[in-house]
Amino acid sequence: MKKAIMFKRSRILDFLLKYGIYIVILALFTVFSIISPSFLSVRNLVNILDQYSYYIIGAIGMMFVILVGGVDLSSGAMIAFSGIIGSLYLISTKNIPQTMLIIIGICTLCGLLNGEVVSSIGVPAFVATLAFQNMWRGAGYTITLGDTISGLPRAFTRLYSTRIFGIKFSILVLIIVSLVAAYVLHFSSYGKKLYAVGDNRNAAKIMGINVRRIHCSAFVICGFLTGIATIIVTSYIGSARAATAETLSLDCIAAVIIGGANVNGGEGNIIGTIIGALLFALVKNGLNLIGLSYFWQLIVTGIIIYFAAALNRLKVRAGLD
Amino acid sequence: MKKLLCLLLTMCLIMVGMACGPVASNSDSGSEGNPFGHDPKADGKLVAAFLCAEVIGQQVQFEIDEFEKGCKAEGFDEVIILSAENNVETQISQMRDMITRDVDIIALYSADPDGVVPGVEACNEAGIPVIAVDRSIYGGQVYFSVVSNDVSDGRDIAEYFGLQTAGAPEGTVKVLHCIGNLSSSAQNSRHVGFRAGVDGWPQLKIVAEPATEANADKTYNAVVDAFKNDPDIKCIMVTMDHLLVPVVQALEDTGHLFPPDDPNHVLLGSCDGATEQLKWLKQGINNDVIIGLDFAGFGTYAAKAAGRYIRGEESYDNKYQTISYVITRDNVTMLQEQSKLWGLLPGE
Repeated sequence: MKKAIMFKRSRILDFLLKYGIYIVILALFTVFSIISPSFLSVRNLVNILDQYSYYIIGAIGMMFVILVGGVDLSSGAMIAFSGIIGSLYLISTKNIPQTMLIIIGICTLCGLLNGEVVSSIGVPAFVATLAFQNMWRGAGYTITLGDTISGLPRAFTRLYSTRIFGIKFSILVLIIVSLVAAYVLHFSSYGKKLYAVGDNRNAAKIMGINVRRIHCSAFVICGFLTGIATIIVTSYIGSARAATAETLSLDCIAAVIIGGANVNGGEGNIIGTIIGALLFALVKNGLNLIGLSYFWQLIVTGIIIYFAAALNRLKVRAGLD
Repeated sequence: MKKLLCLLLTMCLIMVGMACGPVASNSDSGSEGNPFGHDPKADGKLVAAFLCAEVIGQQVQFEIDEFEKGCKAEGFDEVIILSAENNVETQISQMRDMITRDVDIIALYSADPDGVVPGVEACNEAGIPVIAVDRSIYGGQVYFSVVSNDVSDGRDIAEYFGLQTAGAPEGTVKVLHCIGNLSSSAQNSRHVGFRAGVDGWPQLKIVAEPATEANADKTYNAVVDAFKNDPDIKCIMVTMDHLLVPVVQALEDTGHLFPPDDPNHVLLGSCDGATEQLKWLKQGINNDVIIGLDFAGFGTYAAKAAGRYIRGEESYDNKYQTISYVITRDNVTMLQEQSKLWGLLPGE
């Protein structure tokens, strides 16, 4: 149930609130294109999708968890840990399909563990996933002693840029994940249950929804998608380290919130999440291309993300979503 | 819902269109990746990029400043400085962004010598030369390397501890080895070297290796806890000079800070060669050995290599290993007067 805050406002304000995030993206496009001619090129835009495909997939996974009112701080650590295990297996067996299954399997199991601890035992998601973050990353450091696992087979490291039907593998996976996630969320009864659980757990329970199972399944899906992201990022960097994806969890949460999701659950959609993630990627890419000093990049990125997230929340509160 | 579906389909079509579209090569820059000369861009501007694993710390800022100054002297119009915060995937993305930006040369202070290889290979394909700064890169074609040996630097601290405590019975000289930022390959290398050095001195024994993540609070707590467990610790190693500040504070608070000539003095060793800690050595207080790296040299030689590339004066795969100085109370003034210390210039 949405509560619309009724207040007098002009049509211009309505327009700004409803399409604010797109206006922000357009403004950024314009500014970056003027300052750096190489920004608005096919190569650069394809590069952005290429470089950040794993991040967008991770954000889609995070969205499932946030929809049910949870959060997963361990997804970055899952990528590091499963990437290390997968890489070690790949180096010894050279079997890429099995490696991919192992990576996805590990991440899905981690997601299941997160889900069980949060939904069955009742540990707050923030605390539980923070604990698991330490565990998975610590396990990664223990196995590697801080070293990098490199020497992965070329067939695997070239995977992310391999073209299938003319489309890069990483981008093709992103498209498929987006379409499937959109279908599941918006056209299936399972998706409706997710929204119901996130919106009002008690009402969902009364309606006969197995709240615990739905809540847990969101973490499993997040784990599964994190596994897919792991394959892409490990192929992208051609190695595995315990320090990989250190900030991924927070970046994914930011993308989901910028996209209009409610941290308390019950609100959010795939389009918003993808747009939030793309905004994040555009900002990073644009600031690099215009050569802005690193310290200023931190400030500017924070300001843009703040305004984008605030605009989306105001839009939702005004009932314009 | 229909609207949502339409929007989603539209986005997919756009993505597919972009993904299938021709990828512009670097050829519009005019450069064909000629390692023995450089074809200038259409606008005639020379742009260098310095991609750093991190930009925090006096030593890195010094390195960056020297590189910028050197590049300007070599005729570069713009120098772009980026930080990857020790993330390999971020650094590779930055390298790809610099390829898109069509810079003339990339100096790379890598987040990981193995992990950045895909980025280096992408630069090789795009015809943009890569200069390895501070640490080597283990793959791809590197135009020039100006590096230090972090393993050797860590070992030198252990050697100093060993020499200072030579003659003590086996296993009686207790060492606290504070582990720094595990995502930094340079710090990891120093730890590897230090452990190897300790193994060579039978009297030295590492009694604790707390993970401090190169963080001041954690370093302070690690030292306090270590001395609670074992008040007889004789040597402490940290990977970076600034971490000696919380170490000294912790020693003072636990009553274990003694002057160097006191038999209870705890030997302190670190790397880099930062100003404050060099001044301590000069004043004869607190610390005992600093492995001084040539951060000025990193920036200067990297900039000179960039200049040589532009003029076509040098071929690929050349390397220059900088000299690290073992700085103690006995030689700090002499090294300062000879301008060997980036952190303490003559007359300071």
